[in-house]
Amino acid sequence: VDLTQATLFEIREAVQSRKTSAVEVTEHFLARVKNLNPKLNAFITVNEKAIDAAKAVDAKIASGAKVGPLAGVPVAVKDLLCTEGLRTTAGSKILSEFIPPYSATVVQRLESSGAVVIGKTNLDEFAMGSSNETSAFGACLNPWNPEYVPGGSSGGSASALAARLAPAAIGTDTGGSIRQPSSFCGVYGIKPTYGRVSRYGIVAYASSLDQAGPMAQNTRDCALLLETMSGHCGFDATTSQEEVPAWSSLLNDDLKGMTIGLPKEYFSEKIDPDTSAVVQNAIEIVKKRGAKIVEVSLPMAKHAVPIYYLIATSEASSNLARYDGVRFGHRADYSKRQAKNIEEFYSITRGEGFGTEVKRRIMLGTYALSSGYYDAYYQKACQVRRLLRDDFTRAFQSCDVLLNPVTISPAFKLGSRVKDVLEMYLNDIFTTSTNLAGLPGMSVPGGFSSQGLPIGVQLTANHFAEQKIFNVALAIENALPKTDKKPQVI
Amino acid sequence: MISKENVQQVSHLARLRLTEDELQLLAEQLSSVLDHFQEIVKVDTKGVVPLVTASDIAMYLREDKVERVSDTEKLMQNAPEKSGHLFKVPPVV
Repeated sequence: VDLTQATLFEIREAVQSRKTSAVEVTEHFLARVKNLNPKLNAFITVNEKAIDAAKAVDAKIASGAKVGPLAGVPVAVKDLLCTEGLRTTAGSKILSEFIPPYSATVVQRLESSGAVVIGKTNLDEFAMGSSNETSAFGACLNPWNPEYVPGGSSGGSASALAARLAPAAIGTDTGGSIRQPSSFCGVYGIKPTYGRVSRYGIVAYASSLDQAGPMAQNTRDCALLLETMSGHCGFDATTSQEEVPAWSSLLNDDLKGMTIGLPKEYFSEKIDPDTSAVVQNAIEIVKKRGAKIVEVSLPMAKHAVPIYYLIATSEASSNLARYDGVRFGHRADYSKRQAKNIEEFYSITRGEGFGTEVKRRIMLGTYALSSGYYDAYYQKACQVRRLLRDDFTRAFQSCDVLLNPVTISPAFKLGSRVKDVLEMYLNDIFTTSTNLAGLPGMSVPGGFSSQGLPIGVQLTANHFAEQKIFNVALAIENALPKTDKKPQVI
Repeated sequence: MISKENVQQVSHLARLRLTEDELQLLAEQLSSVLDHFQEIVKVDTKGVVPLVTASDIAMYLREDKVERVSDTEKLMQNAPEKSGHLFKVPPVV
């Protein structure tokens, strides 16, 4: 088995039939991390105990015991998900030494399915960013061209996966943080319906929007990973009790009877010609596979960025209040002096611990929630959010899946948008509405730009209709010609 | 337009110490971002109930039983400073 290119199904088959061992697979990817990570900065922490976890999987197989569906599969986990005993930083100085006392439900479920956490991936600080440049641990680079960003905030997961430092990765998505880096790095990534996956043990950014999801090399791997992560969790009251379908075994790339909606507002934006061509090609593919194409309208979608940033930063300003230097995390040095008062102690600790983008968002959110502005900003945004969701509800009365670009253009150059805050925020124009409406959304590789950068296509379905997304994704995957293009770093 | 003084007030509410440069920069950046965000003011939202959770999630009852989820030592291990099972803070009086 060529482990570097193998799918999850191939890896688990090889491990279970003992053609290879979980230890061998883990060693293979750890060696790749050692060689290539210095070029990419995709990992913040490598799991020193990964081999032990792999040994345990091998021992279980040797004993003849039943193993889970991910037995022996190494997984790279975004450093926003708590891993018991393994440093979890959220890409921030304020948590740079934090050792979680427990694992996130997602991590627990992956591990009990036999997956091996090989390390924690780089991200924008507290998942606040679209380029992975706000990380306190340095920018992560795009393996297709290291002059470009991998996207964000799950940039490390996308970069690691594209460079095959791991065969699977976990990200989180609050406003596009799985889909946009998946598009920029040419991998498959899905943000499930809000409530599908437990948020327990995931460092909170904006609780009404945050969802974790898988990133993988193909549709079927993505579906398998999501199956193991999903389902009700007693520690997160917003998880749904809906049954989790066996998506990976129900896949069907025949789209007869399915209707694909093209949101006209998304197609009237100024879209880069290469991105347009990739999306048009995807439309032709789904047509050929039997789908009907209709135009739909989402009149409120043009307001998605303001609604998103007002709501997300408001929730963040509240969620990040817990970093006060008392119970965990960075604390300002008071060894030689006395604090004037407790507020000063908190303020200095937080001023030292948070980076620029996090400070900006805490400030924006505090402002939007402050007396005199609450009605005009936060409350207004929540009202328009309902109108936006109603637009989607109407659209899904006439179609099954929406198809449109993930972003206006492919990956941008490192440093090119750092100065212009508004331009960076507007980058999220096609992704934020999915989170605001609580819908599942996926980025599927659709082709390349003239400069050789990957471009994804975004698929969105109604609540809990992930199967429809996976089916359309598979149709596109199967119809695209096999490419021998490989990231520069490989 | 948001003044440097406004930013200063908000930074107090957020318990976030900012440098002079940060205050100045944030006054400019927050002004430009919020200026752009004004577009939602024009949307007619009369009578619209604010939406907080976007997907329908049913509330449920769980059994009321005590469970041990972690132990004190583990939960205390990240404390910057502690005394036994207590978190220590610098003297403030």
